[in-house]
Amino acid sequence: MSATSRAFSKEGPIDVETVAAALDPKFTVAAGTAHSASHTWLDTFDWRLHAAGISLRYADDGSMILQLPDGGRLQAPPARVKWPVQARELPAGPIRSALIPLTEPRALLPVVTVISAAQETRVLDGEQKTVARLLTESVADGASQLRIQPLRGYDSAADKIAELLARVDGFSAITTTPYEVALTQADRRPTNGLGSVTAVQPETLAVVAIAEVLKQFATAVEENVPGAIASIDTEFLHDLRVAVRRTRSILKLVGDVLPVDLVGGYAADFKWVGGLTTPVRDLDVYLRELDSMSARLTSAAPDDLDPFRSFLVKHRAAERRKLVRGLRSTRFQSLLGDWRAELMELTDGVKDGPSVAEVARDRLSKAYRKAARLGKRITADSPGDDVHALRKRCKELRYLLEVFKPICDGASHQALLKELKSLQDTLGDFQDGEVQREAVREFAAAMLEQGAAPVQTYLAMGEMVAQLDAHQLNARAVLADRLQPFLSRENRARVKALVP
Amino acid sequence: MKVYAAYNIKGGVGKTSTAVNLAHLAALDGHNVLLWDLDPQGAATYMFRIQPKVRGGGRALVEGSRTLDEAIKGTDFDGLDLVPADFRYRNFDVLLDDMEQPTRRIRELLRPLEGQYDMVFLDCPPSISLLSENVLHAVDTLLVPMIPATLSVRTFDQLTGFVSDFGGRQPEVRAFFSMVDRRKRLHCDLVRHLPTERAGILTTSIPALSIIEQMAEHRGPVTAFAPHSAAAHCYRALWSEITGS
Repeated sequence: MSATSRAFSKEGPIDVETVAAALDPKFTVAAGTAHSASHTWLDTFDWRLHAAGISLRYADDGSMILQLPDGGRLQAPPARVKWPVQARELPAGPIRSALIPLTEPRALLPVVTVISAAQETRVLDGEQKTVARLLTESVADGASQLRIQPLRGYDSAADKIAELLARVDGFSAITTTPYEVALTQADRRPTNGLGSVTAVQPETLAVVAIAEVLKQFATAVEENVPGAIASIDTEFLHDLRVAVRRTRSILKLVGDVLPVDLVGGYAADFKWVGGLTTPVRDLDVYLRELDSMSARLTSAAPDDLDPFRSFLVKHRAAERRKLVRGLRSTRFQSLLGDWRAELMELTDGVKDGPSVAEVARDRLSKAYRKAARLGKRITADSPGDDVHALRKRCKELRYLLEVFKPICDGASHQALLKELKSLQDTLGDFQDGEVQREAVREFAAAMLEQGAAPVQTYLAMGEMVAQLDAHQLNARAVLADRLQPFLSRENRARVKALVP
Repeated sequence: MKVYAAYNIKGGVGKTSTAVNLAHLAALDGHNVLLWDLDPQGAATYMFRIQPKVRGGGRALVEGSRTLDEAIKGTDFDGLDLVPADFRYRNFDVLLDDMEQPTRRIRELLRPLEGQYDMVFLDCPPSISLLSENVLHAVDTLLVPMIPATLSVRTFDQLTGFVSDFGGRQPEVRAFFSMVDRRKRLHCDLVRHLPTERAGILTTSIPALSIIEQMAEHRGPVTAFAPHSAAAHCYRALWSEITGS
């Protein structure tokens, strides 16, 4: 990438004559006609393309352009798709190949449509060969922007053009990408993650800080409801559930700094939301993992599981109808409205109480101790329920670490989180294996009752259960190893040093 | 990534015009297209006003000290890039002969570009050589322009016979008549009858038109500088027949 800026802004319009004069005699220009251009920018709901420095847009005719952070550019013929779509539903080609690993399981959805007056001017060398394109575009407040689009293999020419244009009166170098400019007109903007007490000091009142975090979780729930109802992708429901689970954990672990009546009533309501959303999420996970599991079958053929997949899809459709009814219900809508109203008034008139640092120190320490106490009792032969209880305590500790991150000592936080994540991965493997194994058995019983599959399917499901058993045994074997660093003296010291 | 090659043992039959115009049409359709000018004469490179030089020449590519990626140049057209010709490509055969698998090198060089391009067009020099054997192993479709003449048909038969003897992956052969002079009876007869008699010969033909010869003067595809001409229309029809669209 070039060190010289290859984009400029200017008050008012940019005329070709000024540009031509600046580039003369090294280059000449050939101006295209000015036209009105409409582009719609696409991204996942959680801004994966933006985070990767990639922009993806389509024009009115449906043709797509993907711009890579290194300046590379890919195009694709009009995709006759109805947005939002999964990347794998796009026509085969380099754009689809680049997008699938980055976006799945999230869908690509339109972020913003921008209509602007645009003009393309070609910059020619002495051979009359185009060495770069200049794209000028009107932006907000009557200003204009000019971007140099280098041609592959002509990087030094682009640098020279940038150097010459930087000398033009009224041109100021800019670093914003066209996507970032478009985002200024979007309804939503990329975030840097949710759910921590940002912009608070250690001495901030705990109630103020906790109210702020709960508002962020409430926003996450509200934002994900439409996508979960429309089933745009599976992660809307997942993120909604995570925000609900975090809300419940915070009410449980730090709720004593909030008014008592508030915590009691809403904890039950959010538990109801958790239960409402569980069946569809579980089925989403089974369906997602079915492909990889069927690929690992050795004695059964992968398509032996097709009737099982059909059963899950049908079952999911039924559960989704219940979920949508629940998310559209008066109870759920009232819960969101009332909860938001309570949170807005939560800090009114609050003048004293413990600081967020005091509460964080106390709760992090307690959460770690609880997890450690359970962890010490876990052996390779412990019952599944004990391991499950440990997993829940670890999740609570994780949520607290996320919420209080800004007031924690960076090094201790990072090291503790690393150990915790590693332990959680193993606990997840262990419990997912157990839950899925039980679920497959229950599904098999239901399918048998309905006569929904031939015998090969049940045999393949049996092989799946055996694989899940082996997977769980494996997780059991490594659990003790993962627990040691988490329970170590060093880790205990980190917890003590966590909140200065 | 689909690989096409404009190929014929004979020279002056319209290989470069085919490669340049079809690559341009594919890019116009919105595809990411690469044209590799393998002919040391560099006619396609000249038409895109690009310097006929690849750092290290054919040796660097064959020996692997440079990748094809480093040699790519953008053309004046969106979505269409070019690997220029180099006069040193004339030694390709000698270089390839020193390789362990001398007939697979072009294919290996193209493989890393899978994620960047939908289509690659190879503009081949007229010959039967180790290089052409490489091309036959690298491509999905061989585009064979033929002047309507009895000997051209014989050459086509030799080529299809040669390809069908390949073990494993075989390219499909799509021949078509080029430089057709409608005033000549032999031309008209062959264009009318041969596609019905021989599998692999397309029904679209490209007439002998002076505007196609002017490509070197205009230095660009006829589909770009004269998009409404009869020649451009024929190339569009040819591209539709090849892609089945």
